[in-house]
Amino acid sequence: MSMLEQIGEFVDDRGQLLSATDLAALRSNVALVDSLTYRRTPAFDSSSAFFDGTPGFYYGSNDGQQRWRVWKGAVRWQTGVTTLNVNGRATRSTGGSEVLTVYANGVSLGSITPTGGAFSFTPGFTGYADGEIVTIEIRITGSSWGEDGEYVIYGIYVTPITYSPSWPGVPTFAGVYSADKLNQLVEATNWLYGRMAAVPMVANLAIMHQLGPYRLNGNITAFGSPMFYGSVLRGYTEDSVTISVYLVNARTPGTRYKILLNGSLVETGPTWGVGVWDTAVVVDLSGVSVGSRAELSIFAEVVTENAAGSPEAFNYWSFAVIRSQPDYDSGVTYPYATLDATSAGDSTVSTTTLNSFLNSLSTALSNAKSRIDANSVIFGRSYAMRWPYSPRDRTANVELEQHRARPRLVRLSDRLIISGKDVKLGFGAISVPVKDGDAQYGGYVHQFEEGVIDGNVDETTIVYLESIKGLFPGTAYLGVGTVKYMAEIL
Amino acid sequence: MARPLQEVLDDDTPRLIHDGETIEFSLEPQWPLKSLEVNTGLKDTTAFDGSENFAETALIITDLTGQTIAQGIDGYGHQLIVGAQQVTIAVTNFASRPIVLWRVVLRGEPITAGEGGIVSVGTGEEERQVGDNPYVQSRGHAERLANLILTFYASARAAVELEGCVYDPDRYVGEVVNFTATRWSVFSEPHVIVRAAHDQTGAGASYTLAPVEGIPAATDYYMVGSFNYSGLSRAVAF
Repeated sequence: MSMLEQIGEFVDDRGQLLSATDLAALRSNVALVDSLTYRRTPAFDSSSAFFDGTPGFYYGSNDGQQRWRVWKGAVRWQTGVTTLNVNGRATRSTGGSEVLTVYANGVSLGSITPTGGAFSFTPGFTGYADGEIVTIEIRITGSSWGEDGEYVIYGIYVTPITYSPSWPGVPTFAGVYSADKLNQLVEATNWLYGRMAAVPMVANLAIMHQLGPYRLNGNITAFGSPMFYGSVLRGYTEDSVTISVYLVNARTPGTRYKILLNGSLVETGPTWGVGVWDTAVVVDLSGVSVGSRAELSIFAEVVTENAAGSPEAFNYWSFAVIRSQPDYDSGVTYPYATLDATSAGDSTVSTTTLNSFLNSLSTALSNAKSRIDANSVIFGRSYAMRWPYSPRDRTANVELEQHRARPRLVRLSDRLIISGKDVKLGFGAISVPVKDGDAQYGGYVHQFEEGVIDGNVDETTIVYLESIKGLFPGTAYLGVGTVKYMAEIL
Repeated sequence: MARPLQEVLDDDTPRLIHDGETIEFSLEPQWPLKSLEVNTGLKDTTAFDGSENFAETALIITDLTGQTIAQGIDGYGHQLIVGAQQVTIAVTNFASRPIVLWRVVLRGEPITAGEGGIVSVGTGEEERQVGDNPYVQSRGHAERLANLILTFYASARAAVELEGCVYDPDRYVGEVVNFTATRWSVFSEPHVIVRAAHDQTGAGASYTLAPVEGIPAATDYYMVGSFNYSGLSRAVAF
């Protein structure tokens, strides 16, 4: 199913009038594919809070948890893929001899040796079925290691992305409006749409309520307590990073967030006391090369604590959106194509005007093709999705951990690939139940929840989003339940 | 629009199949099907070629003691003919004893109609309503048709009845002819023939004409084709 408007085939010399309706549909489709070549990209999730295993805190497993796990999630294999790519940085624990072993569906693909700097691990990745969701896990292995290793995953993705139909090229119009040329415009539009559809738009984890510290001794690093580690992409010149910050502070006199880019502090939030707070932070990416990723980390820091013996409570931090996009509030936008206006039906136009209109469509399509070809970091990779941050193997406390961070997408297309079991899509207003006067933040519910995978058996399916009432294009929604992979395709 | 994968048919009619017998029956899902789930996954209904089989869960079959009968040469076989809104299933008993097909449960992606819409064109007090048409599936298509209707009906066009004419076999309904009536001060104005009839002898004929003066002709528009319009101006159609 395509979001393109359907246009009937053009036929030569059979009395087919050149129709304003068809021209408007052509223009609308060209504008759509042009806009889709600018893809806002969510952060790639590496890890979250210290109790789930995060840089510097991979300690003990005496409670049955698995803090040797660095990363676990899934990627979608598709025909043509040959290579898994794992990028990041890794520093060994003090006195340790560990390596990071990468597993696909539980089978080792090899190991990464932490060198104290960046790594790129690119094992062969074949033997799967088209569309198969493959589990990827990275574990600390070796004879000995301590708790203070630092491992940050910047990206896990498969390459190459192949799209077999040949590019039809674009026509030039100079007074002859033949079926060949008009159909070529339609084919070029369809080709671009299909090419972009070959790259899924993969969900990232929206941190809905992570537990933040409430005492000064909760500042377990120089910046506070870790909330998020991952990477952000500067996919286009106009990209910066937008981060939504939301805090429910029940008891702490003063706390704030800190944001680091490539290890350097770039944002320190205002000190917030008791109350509910929210803001949107824009992190400048002008120091990051276009086409490159940068490490992003977020910390929660206690500035002032209560007197000893006072009632205390965790702070609930939410970072539901961490995404690369233009700083719209400052007037920055992507440079979308400028297309000539469509003439009204039954109105007289000169060939000069008509040629200019049709050629503006051709130019926009040609530029869109070049933009896709040049942007291999977005259109040459299919990324993996991290599962909820957890040191556990999804056997205990699963509900709570899924509530903390859930896969999130903003509806852009009509098709959703989703894998997992007992999955619903949650959207609309979020409400928090109150029990005995206390808000149960961990038990938040969505106004609308639509079941997409029933039962307790793993399944991968395609959901046609148009069929879900109220899930309009542009609506944000979360995967609720055991979601193993979630991505929209055009 | 295609709906998500879901149960599309649940038929619980018990059907007894004797040893070696084949029964064939047709079931009609509530909605047309885009795809149907078979043992290899979802398959578009247009791609069925008769080689498909349902998964074991689709056909609930036991022998008369209640023991489950599986697909295969010691159980049952089946063949499918799948259309958009009819699934024909032929089940053959290989089990060497009577078996019962208790239930058929099929999953697939149904197609359901989206919400209808209304387009209106033109202004004024006079209104002409055009009914639903199942072949109109987009707003653009509806607007185009509405504009064409408006173009013809926006002006009152009095019908002209012609009686006692000489029968001319070359005249046909839909033909545009020039009509002259000196007493009415009508001189060679284009009219479309909306009715043509001849009398019993075939010598005389009567016609009904409708004036089409002012309605644009095809030559007023750009047409898809090999003609070079450079330097000319035409209209784009609705």
